[in-house]
Amino acid sequence: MTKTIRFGAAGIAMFAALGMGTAAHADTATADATAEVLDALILNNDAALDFGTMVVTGAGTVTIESDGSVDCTAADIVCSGTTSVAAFSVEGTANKAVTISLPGAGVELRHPDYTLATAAEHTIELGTFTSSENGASGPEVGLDGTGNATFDVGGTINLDGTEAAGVFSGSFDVSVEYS
Amino acid sequence: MAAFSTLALATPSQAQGDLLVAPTRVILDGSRGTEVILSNIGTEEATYRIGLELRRMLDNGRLEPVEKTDANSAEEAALGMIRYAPRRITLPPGQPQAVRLAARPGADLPDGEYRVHMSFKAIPRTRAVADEAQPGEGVSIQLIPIYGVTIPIIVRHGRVEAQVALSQPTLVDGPDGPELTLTINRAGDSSTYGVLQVTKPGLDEPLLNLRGLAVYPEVNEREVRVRLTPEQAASFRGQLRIEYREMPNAGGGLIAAIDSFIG
Repeated sequence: MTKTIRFGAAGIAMFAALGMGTAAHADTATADATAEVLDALILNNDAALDFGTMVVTGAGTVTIESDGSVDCTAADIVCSGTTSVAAFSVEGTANKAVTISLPGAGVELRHPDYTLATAAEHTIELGTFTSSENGASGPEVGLDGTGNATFDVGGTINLDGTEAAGVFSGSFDVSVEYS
Repeated sequence: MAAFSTLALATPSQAQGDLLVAPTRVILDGSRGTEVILSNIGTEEATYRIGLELRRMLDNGRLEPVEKTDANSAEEAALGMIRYAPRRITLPPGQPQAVRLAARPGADLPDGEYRVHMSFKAIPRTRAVADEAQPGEGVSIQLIPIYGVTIPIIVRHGRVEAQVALSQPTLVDGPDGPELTLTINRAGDSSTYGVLQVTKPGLDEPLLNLRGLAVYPEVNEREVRVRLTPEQAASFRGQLRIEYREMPNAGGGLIAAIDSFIG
């Protein structure tokens, strides 16, 4: 059941020798006839995470689940407008499972008028990021037989009721980790 | 309400920063450099930042981020030996560019496998001033995903090897239905990378074909868990052969195999 594999220094230069230079040699008569097809990894952001517009008169949370459903049941928050999950598509090695990294901690969103003194009314926390695709142990997406997959990301915002009207902005990291 | 709905338009929906990276893993022998191609496949000009990060594999195969301040000595050595350029690229749509990289291991570096993960991330463009302040009532939110990919950059310094065995293939009831679980036991300084195939005697097509399965040196026992449909699970019962082979483009050599009866 056990087998030893050895990696000689010469044997593993394979990737280093890949045919990136092939095109440059194409004009010589003795150009190699071999062509290396490289596995590529593609990531597209197909839709933004959008909470729509909220009228806030008291504390509460608004959640967009990774399946796109919206929980805006807090009594003092009225949601309107279009909402959407962040949608991503991945293309890579067929039948490979790929780790997705989402922010572990909350992300601070700021009003354009943000100052330290007015932080309470000019800050919203976005947290609890969720993925529509999960492995047995966390966000993970399995690429299908043609190497394609999609996943959606949802999140929750916590409102304390003092937020000033306006557009709060911030960023969050989503990373697809190839092994 | 009608007035509020106009505010929602402030949220950008266009993708800026879509990317393609090839190849998807790099193995350096320490003396020779290589290139990774980054291409802007979005519809707008985008600026990308290229960086080196650390990841550790957990027993369940997940890659966990590790802060550079928490790096162990091998990870520090890996970060220190990789040279790459450029670190920031602005590309018009459809335009690829090569990122050159090479490893410069120190003379007294112990034999072993050293690894970093190269990240390619789009830098969000500064928003136009007009988008900054939207007058009106209600709260709306502008979220900019900073998204990207990481690929492993592996430096094999000196002679490294791995011993691999497969054990304990089992069908279990997971939270979302039946799962096939299996342990890959790995010893030695080298990682392994390949295809895990489950076949049944008499059937031409493999029951399961997991590609690009890596086991890194920080993991001695990697658990593989695969969700199955009930029909799949039923077909797994009986005599099975499970093989872990190198990827076809790496020769497809057998790394480890197990014959097992699943009842």
